[in-house]
Amino acid sequence: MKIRVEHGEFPENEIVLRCKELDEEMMEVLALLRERSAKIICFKDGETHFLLPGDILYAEAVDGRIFIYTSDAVYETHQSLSALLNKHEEVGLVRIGKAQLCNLYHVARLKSLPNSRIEITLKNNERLIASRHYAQNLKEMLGLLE
Amino acid sequence: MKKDFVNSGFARLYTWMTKAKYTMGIFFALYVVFYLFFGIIIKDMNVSLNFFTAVQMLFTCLLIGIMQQIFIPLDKISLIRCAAWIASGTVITVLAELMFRWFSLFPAWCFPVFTVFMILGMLFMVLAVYLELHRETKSLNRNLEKFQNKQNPEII
Repeated sequence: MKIRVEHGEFPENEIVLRCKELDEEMMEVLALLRERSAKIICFKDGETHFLLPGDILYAEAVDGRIFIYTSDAVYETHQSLSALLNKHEEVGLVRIGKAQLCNLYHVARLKSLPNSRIEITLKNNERLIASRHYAQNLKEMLGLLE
Repeated sequence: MKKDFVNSGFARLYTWMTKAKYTMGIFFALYVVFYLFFGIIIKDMNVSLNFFTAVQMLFTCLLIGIMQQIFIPLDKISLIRCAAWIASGTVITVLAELMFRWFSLFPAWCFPVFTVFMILGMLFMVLAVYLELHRETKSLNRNLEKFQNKQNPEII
């Protein structure tokens, strides 16, 4: 399959798939695109918002409520952390604590701490801590553990 | 029967204690080297290490190693724990020196100098732990960069 990316002054991003027939490979690409474009329903100030999974910086559970943090706002969602992780793991979500998920694509740097924890600095300079148990999970995802 | 022994409390205690062998070995070597080193710098003394002193030193070093396992196993390292290990190691060294009178025939300065060297040895071991953390931080960031470049959905 040939992949061509055109850069230019287009009004919006567009993906065009050209094929003789929708074979298995093309169906996989379509499934991937659909997954990526699936939006998360969340709420802020009484309004409903549709959030792209890739926009999540991190998510956390506080008193049984799930909050999603993006670069410019905080939203609440009715989905559990496990559901968010299962549905959107491919956008880089990883569990860093019992009540926290983090998006690895929005991480600026990591720092190994005593007690086997990892300090995570996001690109907006917010800091999170991966607990001892979930630090192993993070290392595994980054290919540091077999 | 064999399976029972493998899972027994003794077997678990034994395997846990063997984790102290690395520290025990290093400290035993340091003890022996510094003890004999005094024989070189003190001109009018003929210093040799007898069997019983060596055994006493070996068990003292085993205790220091066990304390390391108690206070700073690899998954529970913190500054307070490191300080606690150094303090316990110092107490063990001083008590062993006083109890076994290793330096009774040596000049008075040998006892404190030996103790200071042992404390330095522990500090260097803690430094090694922190260097390991620094190395791991580098690996984490290198792999994070690889992960972000390899699978970035915006690039796909």
